[in-house]
Amino acid sequence: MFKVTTIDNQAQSVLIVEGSLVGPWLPELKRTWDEARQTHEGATVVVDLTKVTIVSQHGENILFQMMNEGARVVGNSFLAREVRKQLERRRNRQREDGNDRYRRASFVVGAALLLAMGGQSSWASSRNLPHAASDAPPIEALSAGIPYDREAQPLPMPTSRPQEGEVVVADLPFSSLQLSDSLVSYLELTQSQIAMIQVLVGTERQRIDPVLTQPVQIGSSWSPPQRTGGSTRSKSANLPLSSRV
Amino acid sequence: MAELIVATSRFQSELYSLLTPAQQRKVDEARDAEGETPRP
Repeated sequence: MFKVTTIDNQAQSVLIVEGSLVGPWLPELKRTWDEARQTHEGATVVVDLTKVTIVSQHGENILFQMMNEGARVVGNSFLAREVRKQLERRRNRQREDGNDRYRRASFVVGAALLLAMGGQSSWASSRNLPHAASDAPPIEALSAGIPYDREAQPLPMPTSRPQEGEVVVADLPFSSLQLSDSLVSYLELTQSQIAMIQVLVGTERQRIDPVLTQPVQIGSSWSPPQRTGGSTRSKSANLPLSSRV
Repeated sequence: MAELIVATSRFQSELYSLLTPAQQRKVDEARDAEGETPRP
C-alpha cells in the first residue's frame, strides 16, 4: 500500500507519504515530487515520512536524490527518524567525497568495468588484441599469463550489413577489464580480495573461451555496432554482452 | 549468446559476493548514480 498526499500553502508544499516506499510505488513518488517542484517553483517542498512503514534501498536513494534537489525530509516516527539520520549520513559522506571528484569518477568507471566483464566488444580476429583505452595491461592478462601487446590495434569493424542468415563470428574479448588503482582505493579492497578477483577473472575466461569461439547467428534486425573510439566507459559498459552484437 | 549472458550474470554475482557489505553498498550507490537498476 502506498499513498502520497500533497498539501500546498503559500510558503511550502508538503508531500505526506504513507505506506510502503518500495519498488512499484517509487515512480509515483518521483512523479509527485516532480509535479510539486514544477507547480511551486521556488517554494520549499517538505516530504513527511511519519506514516511510512517500509523504505527500500532504492526508496532511500530516491529520497536522497530529492533531498539533494532541495526537498526537506521530516517525520516523527522511529522509521522516519532513522531514514533521516541515514540520509544525513549519506549527505555528509557525499560532501566529503566531493573533495575528490576525480576519484569517484574513476571508481564509477572502474566499477562498471569490473562488473560488466568486458566493456567493449570488437570484431578482431584474435582475442589477444587489447583495446588501447589504457596503457595498463588487462588484469586477466596478468593473472592468466597471456602475452600483452600494447602496440596492437583492433582490426577495423565491418561497415556492410550482413545478409540475412549469414553467420558472423564476433569476438568478445575480456581485455578491457581492469582493476584500477582508484577502484582498489575507493573500495578499500584487501590484497586477498584483489588476488581472488584476479583468480576469478582468469577462471572465468577459461570457462567462456569455448563459448566465444561459437559462431553467432545474426538475424534480419542486425545493424552495425556504433564505434565509440574504444574509450567509452560509461553506464553502457554495464550492458550485457549480447547488446553489443 | 545466451551462454554469454548467463556467464556475465554469474561473473557479476561472483565478483559481488567477494565484496564486503560496505563495499557492496558503495558499488550499489555508484550504480544507482549511473542510473542502473539497483540490486534488490
